[in-house]
Amino acid sequence: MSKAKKFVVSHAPFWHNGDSIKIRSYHTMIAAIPALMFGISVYGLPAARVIALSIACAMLWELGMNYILGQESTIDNLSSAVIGMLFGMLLPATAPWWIVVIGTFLAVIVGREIFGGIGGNPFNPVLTAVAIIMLSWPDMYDYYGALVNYNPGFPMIYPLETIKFQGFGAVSEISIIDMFLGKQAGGIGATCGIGLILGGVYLIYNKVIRWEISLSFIVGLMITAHLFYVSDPTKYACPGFHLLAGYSLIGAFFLATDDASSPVNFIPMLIYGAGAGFLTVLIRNIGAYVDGVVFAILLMNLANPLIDRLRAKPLGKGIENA
Amino acid sequence: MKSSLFGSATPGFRYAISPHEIEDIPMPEQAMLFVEQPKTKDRKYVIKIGDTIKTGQNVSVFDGDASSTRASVTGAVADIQTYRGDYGQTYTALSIKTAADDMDDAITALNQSTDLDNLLPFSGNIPGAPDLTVFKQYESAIHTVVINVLDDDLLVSVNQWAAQYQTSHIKQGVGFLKNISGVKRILLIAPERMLSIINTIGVEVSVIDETYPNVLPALIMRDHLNTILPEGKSPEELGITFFKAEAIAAIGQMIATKTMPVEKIVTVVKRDGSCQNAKVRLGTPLKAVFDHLNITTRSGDRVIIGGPMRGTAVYSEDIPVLPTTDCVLIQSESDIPGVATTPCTNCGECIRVCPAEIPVNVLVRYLENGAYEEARDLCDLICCLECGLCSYVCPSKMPIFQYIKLGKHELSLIETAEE
Repeated sequence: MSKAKKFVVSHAPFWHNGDSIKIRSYHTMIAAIPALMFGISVYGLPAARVIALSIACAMLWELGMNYILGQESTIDNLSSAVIGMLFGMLLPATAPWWIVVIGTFLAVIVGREIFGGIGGNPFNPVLTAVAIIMLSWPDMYDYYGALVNYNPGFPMIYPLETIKFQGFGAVSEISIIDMFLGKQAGGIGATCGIGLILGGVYLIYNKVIRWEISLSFIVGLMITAHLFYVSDPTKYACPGFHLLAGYSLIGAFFLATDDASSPVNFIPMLIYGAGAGFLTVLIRNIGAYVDGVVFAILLMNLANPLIDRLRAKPLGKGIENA
Repeated sequence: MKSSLFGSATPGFRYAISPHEIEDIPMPEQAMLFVEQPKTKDRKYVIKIGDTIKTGQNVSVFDGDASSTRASVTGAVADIQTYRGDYGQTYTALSIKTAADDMDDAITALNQSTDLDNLLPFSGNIPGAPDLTVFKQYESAIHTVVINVLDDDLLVSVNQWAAQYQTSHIKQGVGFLKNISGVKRILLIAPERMLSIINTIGVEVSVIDETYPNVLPALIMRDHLNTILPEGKSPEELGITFFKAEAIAAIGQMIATKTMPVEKIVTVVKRDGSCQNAKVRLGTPLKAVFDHLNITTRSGDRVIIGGPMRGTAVYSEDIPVLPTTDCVLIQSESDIPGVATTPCTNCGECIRVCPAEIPVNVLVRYLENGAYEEARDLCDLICCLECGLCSYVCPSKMPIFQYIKLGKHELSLIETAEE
């Protein structure tokens, strides 16, 4: 047979839908733009500085890890840029540079690379870093202290903390609509409800995140919050308030939906999302921490390998003879 | 590709819309016959260069009857070579310098009778490669015959063409099947748009939704026969067998004309994605088909036998059109999607598209590390229907389908070694 022409051989299928990790990373970053722009417009240049440094550091940490392990560089899939961006969005605008450097190290290296890189992390890398920092430098996420010098034209209240110590009545001056529009203290990219919802819908539309997780997270959170609210309306906040305060929405659309640490089967996704929403309210209302999203999602990450075993029986399995 | 927003269902791939235009490819100067080589080491060639072969003749390559084929051309053997296929399968390739057709005695014998016994020797060697031996092998246990009017991959329209233009032959083929003892039910699987033609055949018809991969046997059994194909079993073990419409047409043609059908329809998909059907003599090298259709191939192209989702890429264009060759697809170098070594990110896209509901995300982790037995026991490797959708949607561009095929192949080797 003639060997003159060399054809390319490979395995079926010979088509691909063109999706890639890089495209998914771009989608995530585009989805974060509304919330991020709002944060930067409120807090100004310091916020932009935190985000930029965070993205750059996260990518450099991954590049450094690639270099040490002698691997091909993997930063061009932008997954660590997304990690850096999300980590920055959770920080207050006044966060010092060193916490960004340490935080991105914890997220990229400790949270992900030591488990084998992309796809290998058992916990959400961003939340791993946030949790470690919350325990090591508790003041870092004290938004009252951090944002004391800001006067953006609306009451600089961090609603969750106020409720925790003074009851629901203490936040009567801040309306649900104001919170929806982002008029509250909080992380750079975590306060603007409408921006996060827009981003979440964009991600769901482009199938970057799994809608089951986001939806069940929100439903789980609201049902639990409602039960508390009914039991004592003066002490506990209403469901809408819980949804718009703290990290709830960024958690529902950007954090709980991290690919590697969340389930992929239908029922497990619902359990995972609802469980994280339930735990969030539980920690907020009767736990020690002001915001429960971080630990709620990390706890559900822990349960993920177990609950993801709940799946439909595949076609033809377990049938002896029909 | 369309897919619904909350896409829990399979992507909306549709099978080919209508039979494409047909082009006659003339008899090539040099044809090629492929004979599967037995795996045994000590084998002796009984054929040599210079031997003449008649159309319809039973061509044995080695002593013993294990490996033979029915010649589709008349001519002299010009060359004997070995062709290596996928997964270690080897073939003996006989190049034949073609001459005017001279019918072998085996074909003249068809004038006497066209019973199952007379047609059996041609089983697998006529267009569509119908396997009639199942009726002997399973001793009248086959009770249901399913005839598929759709093709088993995208873009292909060979069976649709047969249903549209060879309806009378299909009718005769169906009549032949009805006379086989044990066969109680004959079911035609057809898309709704072809019902007006299909209904003239006069046999039970079941309408199929034309979404890929509904044509796979296990899914047809589930959707149209209310039978679940148990893992690792063949449909024949449950008394059900599948034929392509083209194969039934070929059987009908054989009965009607008392000759062996030697021309087959092949869908040729060109570089730009346009499709054309060609009527080709079995054994025609792909190169002759390309030349006639003004297709030039270059180094770096990909030539695929079968469709875009489930076909096989080949390394030579000297390969002949075989009874099973329904489609030839050519891809330019720039259109070839690559695979990558990126690990699985657990995005869940494969889980959404898998028609068999296999935990692909976990399965691929076992397969990557060569843990084939765990893949079989824990992740239902054997349940895979081999549709290729998981690889198609993977953002990491992992060759998941290849891992699965390799895993199944390795397991079969382990099982043979244990026996």
